[in-house]
Amino acid sequence: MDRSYWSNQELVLATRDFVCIRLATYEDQKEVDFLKTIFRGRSGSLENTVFAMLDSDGKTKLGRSGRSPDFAFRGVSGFVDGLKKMSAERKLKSKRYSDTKLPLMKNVDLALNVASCDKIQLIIIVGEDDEKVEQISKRALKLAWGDKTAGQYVFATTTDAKELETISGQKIKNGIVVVEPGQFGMSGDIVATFKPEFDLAKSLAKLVDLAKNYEVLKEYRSHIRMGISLGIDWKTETPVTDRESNMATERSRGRKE
Amino acid sequence: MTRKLVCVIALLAIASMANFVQSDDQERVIWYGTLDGGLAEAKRSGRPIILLSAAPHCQAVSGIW
Repeated sequence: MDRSYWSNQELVLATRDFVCIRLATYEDQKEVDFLKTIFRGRSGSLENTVFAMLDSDGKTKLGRSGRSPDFAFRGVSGFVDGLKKMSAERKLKSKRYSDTKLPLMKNVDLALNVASCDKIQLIIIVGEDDEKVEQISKRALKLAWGDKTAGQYVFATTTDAKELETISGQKIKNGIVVVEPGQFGMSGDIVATFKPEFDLAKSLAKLVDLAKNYEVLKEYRSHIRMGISLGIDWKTETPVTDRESNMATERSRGRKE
Repeated sequence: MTRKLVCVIALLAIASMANFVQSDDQERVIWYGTLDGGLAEAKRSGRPIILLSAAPHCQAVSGIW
């Protein structure tokens, strides 16, 4: 995935009228089955990346699907124009502040990895039971959709303390945990915790400050080299079916995928 | 001379790595991370969907798209 493409500010603003779904390929069988209906590569298999514009029913394609927006639009400016046009035709208006749910990842492990990829912090809603998680999640909605923090965090929830075992720092039973992911997203450090009854207005300044001071340097080739030498080996939930990707892994690790 | 050369190389390396630092003044796309979550929101709001899928690992090394 082109890291700079999706941080284009014009594009980011143009996406606000749409529901943006970014799945982690190979991490959920149901999602894999769905993605296969959207796009398959020449080999007929699901490849590492998929892109599509869909209507709100989640079924009707609104253009050509492929591996990236370039299959349907000419460059990032073409994509921005396409989104603006679609938005104007449908008279869409951003409603991000009225959203009722957090944009969650499937689980803490995956969220930690994705936050590391995005080089942003992870917010975990921790609760003793689902009801508690739901209550705290409602209080955290403005962190996901508010002006100063929208898009600045990856979100996950858990009722299981075991899910936090790879994360170091003082754990809490109920509340919000802010985590800085490690280099490879397989560990993390708690940098702040907030009680369930946290005052968002008061906490916001601290959160914004924490996010601003979090800077990560990653260079693609050295990251891969270091990861292999350290024995980092991410296991996907479903088999990787991208032939080229498997060949690259085979070459670098000397094994068959 | 050698020290100067090392410094220049180090500066160049830092400058090139700086391209990968995420600026925190930037707005970012708000991504739903699950299909169920995203589809439910699309249905609720009637808004069309930008769907992307990517592997959060490369050559089985996590932490990078």
